[in-house]
Amino acid sequence: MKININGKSSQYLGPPTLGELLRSLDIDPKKVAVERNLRIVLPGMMESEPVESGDEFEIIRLVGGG
Amino acid sequence: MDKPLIIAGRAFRSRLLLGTGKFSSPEVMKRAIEASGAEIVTVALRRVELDNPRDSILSAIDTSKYLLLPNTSGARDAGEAVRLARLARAAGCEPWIKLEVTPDPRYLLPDPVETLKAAEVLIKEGFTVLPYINADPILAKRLEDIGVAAVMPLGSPIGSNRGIRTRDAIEIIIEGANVPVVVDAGLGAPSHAAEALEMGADAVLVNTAIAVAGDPAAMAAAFRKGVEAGREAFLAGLGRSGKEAEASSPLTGFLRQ
Repeated sequence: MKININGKSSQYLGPPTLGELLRSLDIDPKKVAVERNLRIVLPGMMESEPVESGDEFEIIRLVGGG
Repeated sequence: MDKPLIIAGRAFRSRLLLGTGKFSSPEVMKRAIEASGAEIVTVALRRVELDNPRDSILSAIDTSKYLLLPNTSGARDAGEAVRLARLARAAGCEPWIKLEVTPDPRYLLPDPVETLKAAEVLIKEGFTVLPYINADPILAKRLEDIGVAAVMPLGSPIGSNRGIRTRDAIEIIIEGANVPVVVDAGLGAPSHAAEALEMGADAVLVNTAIAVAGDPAAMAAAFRKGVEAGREAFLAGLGRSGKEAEASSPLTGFLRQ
């Protein structure tokens, strides 16, 4: 299915949960925050949050900053 | 013995807050944080780079020793700042936020109207809000009235290393504030940090001047001393300044008399 991650469109063929999507991207769910269609996914719900065609994800991490 | 710095009921021994941007490596940053003595370190939020997904600043900062203070840098209006603050909390940070709304990329000056709007929303959501502001005493009061935990007036534009160019206004803010005043942005040398503390500021936040120094850990140690010297001078009570000379040697018993 076609989804959008951090502003880029991509094809995702894995199991339709956010936990699986993050693993397929080699991202540790504990170290990021995720918005699905502009709504924050609660940290405890990462694994079970569904992934559907057309979804837009923002995957955010902490970086150095003032 | 000096009192601790208290922000939102939490006590800190160090009056130097350190930003973590622009360091050449996580190792260099780690050494600078240790040398600074800081207990509060700021971080930013950005998109994960999908071609480098494991990169994490958290591997270099011991979050049991330091309070991570995420900022809302990059926000151009209140809505974006609120969104970033919520994401920071979802990323595992405590609900403390350095609120910055900087629509203009050239000077990165904070937008007072959007900052006030965002602060109202975030305080209602339970955040401890530390807003980055222009050195505007009225705005500082308005923010204090709605419940911010500190105010962070700028000395000069972010990263400019120009020191405190807003001295008179910061003095007025300090005079009227009932929350800690943290001078943020533009402090380029330990003497600038000392100046802020001598004036009675409660703390300073420094990033660029330390991160881009030839030896960041040594510069962090120098800033630590500048902050301590400034604070001690403030507590000791500075003498008044005047235009004319005030002789320090006795004015009697000259040879000619």
